[in-house]
Amino acid sequence: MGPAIEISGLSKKYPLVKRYRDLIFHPFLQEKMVALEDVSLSIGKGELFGLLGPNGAGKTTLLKILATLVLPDKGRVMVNGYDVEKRPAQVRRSMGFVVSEERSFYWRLTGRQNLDFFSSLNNIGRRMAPERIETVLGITGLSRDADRMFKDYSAGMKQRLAIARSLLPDPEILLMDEPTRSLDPSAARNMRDFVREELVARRGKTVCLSTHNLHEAEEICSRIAILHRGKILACDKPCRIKALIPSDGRIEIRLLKKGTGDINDVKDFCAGKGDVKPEISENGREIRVLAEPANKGEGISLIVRDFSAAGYHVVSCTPVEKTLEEAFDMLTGE
Amino acid sequence: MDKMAAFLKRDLREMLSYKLAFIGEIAGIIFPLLTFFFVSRLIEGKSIEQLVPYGGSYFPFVLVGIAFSSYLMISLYSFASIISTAQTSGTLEALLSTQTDLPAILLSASVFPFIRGAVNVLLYLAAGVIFFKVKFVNPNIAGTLIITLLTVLCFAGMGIISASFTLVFKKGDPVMWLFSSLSGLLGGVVYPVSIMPVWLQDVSRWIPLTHSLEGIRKSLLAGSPVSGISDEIRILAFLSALLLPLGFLLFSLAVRKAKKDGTLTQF
Repeated sequence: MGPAIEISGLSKKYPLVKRYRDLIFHPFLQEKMVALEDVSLSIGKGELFGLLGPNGAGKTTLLKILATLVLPDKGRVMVNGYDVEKRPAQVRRSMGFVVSEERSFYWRLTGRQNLDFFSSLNNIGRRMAPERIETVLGITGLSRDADRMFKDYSAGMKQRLAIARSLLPDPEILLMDEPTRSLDPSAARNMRDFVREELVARRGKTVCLSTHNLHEAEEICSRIAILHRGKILACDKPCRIKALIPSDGRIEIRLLKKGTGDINDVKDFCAGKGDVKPEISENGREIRVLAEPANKGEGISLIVRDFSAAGYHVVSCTPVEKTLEEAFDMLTGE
Repeated sequence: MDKMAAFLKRDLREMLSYKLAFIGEIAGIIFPLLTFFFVSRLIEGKSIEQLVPYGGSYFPFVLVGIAFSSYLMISLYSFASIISTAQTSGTLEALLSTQTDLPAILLSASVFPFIRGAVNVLLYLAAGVIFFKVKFVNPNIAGTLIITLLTVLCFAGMGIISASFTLVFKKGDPVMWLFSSLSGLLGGVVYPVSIMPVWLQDVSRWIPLTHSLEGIRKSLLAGSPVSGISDEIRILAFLSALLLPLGFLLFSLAVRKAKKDGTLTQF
């Protein structure tokens, strides 16, 4: 089984708009801005892949190339085995581009009427269309609101209708450009759950989504590519990307309280230790201590021994994992 | 056909949802007619040589000129307008992400403006007959339809060229500007071409609208048979054969350029 998306050596530059002065003095000179540079990656079938990067990183350009809306300058881009330049019609048959822009709908038509229109453009016959529309409305949870005008939809419903539209031809691959951009935290969480559980886990779709939300990428994507200024800086599982940056030596110790002791006892206890710079937090009976021992191996043993000797029950002692945000900052140099 | 029907349904639903605009459009037909009706009363009873080939009265002359030129201009404007409206409203990206190619989208989306334009022509003519007592004696309907069809094809060619400019340059389309300005001035919409200086009459022969209106007026107002408008038919057929393929060629080049520059959906 081949990959759903395969990109090798993809580069794209956009011509910059000329100033009047340049039109006169340098009519044949065309300055260009790099959008993508030598990008290569492969996305497996049924994978939930995240393109992570700040604004202007090249995420949208990459998605638009996959959606055949922009032509690449160099490199080869295959979607479901079809070349985006040579077989654009087959590519569009294989994938659905979730256009999150809410203006991409007709506001004075209902949700159902919008889907009816787009189903015709996706070659869904008049007989099949009502059933297919009902199916995608059901999948996206919009059945009850299908006959309301689009202008009366909430931001979350508009986003769901965008997904419903992309699901009309039942594509194997879905491309999503910042699907939670305009959603409130609760709606964004629902959308993430929907993408992960309904689209990928249940329906086996391949989803490639772009986001600049690190938390979102880490939470739902099986793999992510960090794009920065058109280049891929890392492409792997989130945990492996986090592991790319060296640990700073901090350890997290989880303790259980002594019978009557409280968090202040731990603070007092730690105050006497030179190599323990504690950040203490309490979660029920459990106390979490972040320590930064000067001497890694021996230092850790001594801290654990001292806590045990003082009557604390040490539940766990693990090196503090770097966050994706820290990995992202280190990789992008920002 | 399914796609044309889908666009038709979408546009009809949208149009009917803007009720005031719909009423405004009807008023937009009546008011210009009233203006020219009063102008025609100024010259009522005078024999004007230049109007003789078209029945001799000014008001029927201008009625046909306004009704058909507005329809023919739709062929010119609608294609570029479809592109720029979809760009500015934000729907173009969604349309292009479907399994329908841009040329098919363009052609399907143009059906509604053409039907709407045809209805407007009928309304113009009906208003002329009902409210302004215009009489069409022995009109050659077949000749009128042949000329109209050829002009639509010819203007559609220009319109598609204009849409190509819109795709690449977004605004400031010189084709539209030049063609519509010259057509309005020299095409004989509200006055006969023969009233202009000879050198301007020579220029007007290069404008398709001149031949269209000439053929339609001869057919509709003077009842000329098809043989009487054969010159107009030949010229318009030649221009259609030239402009339509050129339009499609330029349009495909424009789509490629816009996709290469990444500006397909920008405006």
